[in-house]
Amino acid sequence: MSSQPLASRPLLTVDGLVKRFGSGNRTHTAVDKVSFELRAGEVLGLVGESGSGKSTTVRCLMGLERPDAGTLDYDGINLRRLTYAQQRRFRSEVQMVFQDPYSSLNPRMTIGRIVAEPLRVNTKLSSSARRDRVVEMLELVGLGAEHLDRYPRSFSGGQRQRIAIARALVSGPRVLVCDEPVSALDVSVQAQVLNLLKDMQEKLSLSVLFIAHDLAVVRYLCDRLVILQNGVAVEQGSRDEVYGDPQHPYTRALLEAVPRADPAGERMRRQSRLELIETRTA
Amino acid sequence: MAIYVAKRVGLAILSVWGIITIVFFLTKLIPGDAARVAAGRTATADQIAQARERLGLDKPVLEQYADFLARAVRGDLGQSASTHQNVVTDLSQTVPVTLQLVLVAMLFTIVIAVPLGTLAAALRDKAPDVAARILFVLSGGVPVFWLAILLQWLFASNLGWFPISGSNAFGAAPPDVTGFTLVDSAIAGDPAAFADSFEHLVLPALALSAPFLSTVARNVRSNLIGALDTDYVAFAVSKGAKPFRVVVHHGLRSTFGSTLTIIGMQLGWMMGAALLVETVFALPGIGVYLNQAVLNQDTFAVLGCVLVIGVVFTVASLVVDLIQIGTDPRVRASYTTGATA
Amino acid sequence: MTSLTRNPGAEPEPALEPEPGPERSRLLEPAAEAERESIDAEFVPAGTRGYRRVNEWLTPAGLGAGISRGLRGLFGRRAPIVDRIAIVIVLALVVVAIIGPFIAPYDPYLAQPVDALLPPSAAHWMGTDDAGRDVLSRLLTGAGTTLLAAIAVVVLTTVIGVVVASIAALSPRAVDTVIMRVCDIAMALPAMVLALGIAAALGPSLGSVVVAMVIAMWPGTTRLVRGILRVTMSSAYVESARVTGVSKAGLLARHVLPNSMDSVYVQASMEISGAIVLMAGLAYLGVGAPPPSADWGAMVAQGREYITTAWWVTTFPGLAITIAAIAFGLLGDAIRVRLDPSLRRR
Ligand SMILES: Nc1ncnc2c1ncn2[C@@H]1O[C@H](COP(=O)(O)OP(=O)(O)O)[C@@H](O)[C@H]1O
Ligand SMILES: [Mg+2]
Repeated sequence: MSSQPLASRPLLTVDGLVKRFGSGNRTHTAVDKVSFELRAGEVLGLVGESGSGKSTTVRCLMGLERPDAGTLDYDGINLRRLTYAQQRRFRSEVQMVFQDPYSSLNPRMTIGRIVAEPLRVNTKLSSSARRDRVVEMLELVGLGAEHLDRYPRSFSGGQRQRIAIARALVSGPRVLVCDEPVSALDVSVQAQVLNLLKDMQEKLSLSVLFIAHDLAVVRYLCDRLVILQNGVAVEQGSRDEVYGDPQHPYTRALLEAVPRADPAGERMRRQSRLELIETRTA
Repeated sequence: MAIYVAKRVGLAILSVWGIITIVFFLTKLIPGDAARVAAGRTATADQIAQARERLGLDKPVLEQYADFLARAVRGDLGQSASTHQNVVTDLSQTVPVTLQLVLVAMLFTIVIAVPLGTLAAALRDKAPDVAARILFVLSGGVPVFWLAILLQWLFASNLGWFPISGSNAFGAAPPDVTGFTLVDSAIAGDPAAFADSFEHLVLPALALSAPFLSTVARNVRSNLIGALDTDYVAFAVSKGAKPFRVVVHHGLRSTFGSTLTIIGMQLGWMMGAALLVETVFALPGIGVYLNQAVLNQDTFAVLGCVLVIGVVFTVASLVVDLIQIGTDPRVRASYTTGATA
Repeated sequence: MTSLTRNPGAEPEPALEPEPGPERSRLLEPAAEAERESIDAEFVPAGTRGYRRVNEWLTPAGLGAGISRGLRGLFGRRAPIVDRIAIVIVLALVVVAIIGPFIAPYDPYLAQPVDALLPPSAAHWMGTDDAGRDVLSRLLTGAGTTLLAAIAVVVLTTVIGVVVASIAALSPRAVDTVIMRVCDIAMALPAMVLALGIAAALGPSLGSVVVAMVIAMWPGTTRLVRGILRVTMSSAYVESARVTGVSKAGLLARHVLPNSMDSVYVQASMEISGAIVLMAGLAYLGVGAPPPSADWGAMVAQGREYITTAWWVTTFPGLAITIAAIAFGLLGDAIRVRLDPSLRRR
């Protein structure tokens, strides 16, 4: 586990973020005055059940959705009014891994080109230097150079998510935003991908905003947590506070939540996943 | 709702302005001396000079455009070189003929396509369905004017079931009030004239409806199949309801809206195709007038027709859209919230 | 923050196609359809079917790859019979369009009044017209102009549509909206009517008909392509590229266009059939290649007066148009079923 310098400064600040969908009298508030901050070097978990507004929050943050109100700030830059230079800086320093690795890789591009793209747009590296860096990065996420010229379709979900992680990290970002990066994967590979993310976070001393709908997944990953319910941040605090002494009933419900369909099996699977993580991080 | 209607009407007005503008630029496309073209092939030097002045061809383009707009709004689209009448006067007699044909053809389309599509859906994958689908493919590919010629040849010339051409038999025409022969017969209270007018419309309307039949019937079919696969229908059937009744009752209602949309979308094509069908059956509509104008190289009459058809079409699609918001709550909702599907 | 976001509240997506497509072939050959699915499923993870090889957009190689991907299997044992018939007819038409003038048994233009209106016979398989010209020879000679002109119209319209839609996609929201509104307004004129007006203004020639049809049809195509681009634009891989800092132009060139071209090809293939019929209609109304030429639509018009005495003069050209339109329509449908990822995933 990474030990945090206690007074690390906030890197990303979300203050009073509001996002509504629809118009006229049929609006739906997906994110309702959410505020939190991501401090340098920490892993912050954003947790809530499906539909609670987690993706919308980070989509606003990443400029994929236009917020209705609130301030978004990255390292002193106002994200809602970026100059061209600030935009460039933000895009190169804050990267994202999407939920569904099956749809987040361009099917018409080779892995080499996909992973090289951030280098191409954010750095002035020569093409051979780019290639070296891509190979290095692919090896770091556990894929060999022999994959460079293959297309996404020939990879499994777990491999694709590794590729997505490689793409996100290749240009050396400071912040990584992960939107449920393992929820679309087979349970058997979830742990591997989580471990990879954990490794990377430590090796590259990244600040990570990690989204999950499941408190179990983030338990061993996050230093602090924000709990979202219906677009409202109902609780936030350090991992120990949230797990040890949950204040809000929704948090307690999340902690106790047991999947209905196959409780025993799911618990076992979850258990083995957690053990895997523990043995890796031990 | 009111906002939407206002928006939609605004768009229609914008369209009319756009059409006038397009037609104005088309007059600028005419190669060579537009005044000579406007005056007609047999014009004297004097008439050409007159036409040049009338068209204001010596003025700057912007001024010409302003004049053209002003005249178009007043309903002055210039003179036909062959009839020497104001094009609008000529067209006011022909538009009702075309509109009536289009409306009757739409009626035919619905009357034929809905039962056919329903049948195909209810007997999915069985012989009648396959036959219907082959028919859809065929009817979708036949050029209307050729089909019109064949129908005329078979059912009028050979079998004599329907009149060959024209909109009424000699002396059977109702007194002209609206220009719609069916309406005029009704106004005159003359069933014989009504029957005569209708007989003259059957073949043209049938020919015109063919290509659209296929689209509408396919839509009805796939909509009904979609409805058949829903839990609602499965539930109703499991409770002992006859599947066919369920199809008709539940499925057709949901099909109504999308059928209307398709018909609205096909309106433009139908008006274009109507021009072709009219020339075959010598129905004195815009098509025949336009055809004559083209053959006489009466370009200004052609452009006048283009303008009028554009305006008629714009108004007609406005009406279809307004009917649709009036009847379909989902469409209404989607417009008032502006949500995308 | 830029207009490339997926934007709820923008104008409604144009309906790309009113009727769901693959039913025709599925109905006529249900087993084949199912098998086709299962072959394609090999080695292809869910969600990416339809993307089997690289396809650089708009290059001849890319176009070829797209078409070959679309046609792959059309000749295979498992292809539905309808698709196979359609492609055979289309290929035959293309061949006739190219070599037609050379295999025509008679001079298509030479009037021989003594032979006027002869019925079909061993000497004249499709009879002769009012000027004594062999109908078959005229059909063979006219195939080239009729079909190639229709294809040229669709190619030009599609290129213009892609370019304008791309410009709209790259422009600020307001400019995008204005471009689309201009298309809407131009579409307020039925294509047939607008094309007729333009062709009439330009004077009678094949070239002016092609130009007229392109001018009349590009707004509709542009709108459809814009819709396709918008759909692709909102896909996760485009958003992924956006957040890594790729510019709008880079997104369009490297991500959006390459992944949209399949749908565009489908659209284009569907339009050929309509273009054939539209052009025939225009020729029938008297705008088109001037008289002696053997345009199919014009041949129908010319034979119309003689229908009661000489049915063959108008029937054969009409049949030719019908067959061509249906074959291209079926082919478009078949290509769509093969290329359109959204239909394949069903
Ligand atoms: N583009 C959109 N248009 C309309 N509603 C949306 C859109 N995106 C998300 N929503 C709605 O916003 C709410 C939050 O969604 P989301 O942020 O995806 O939740 P989560 O990621 O927590 O599962 C949901 O109710 C969802 O339906
Ligand atoms: Mg989500």
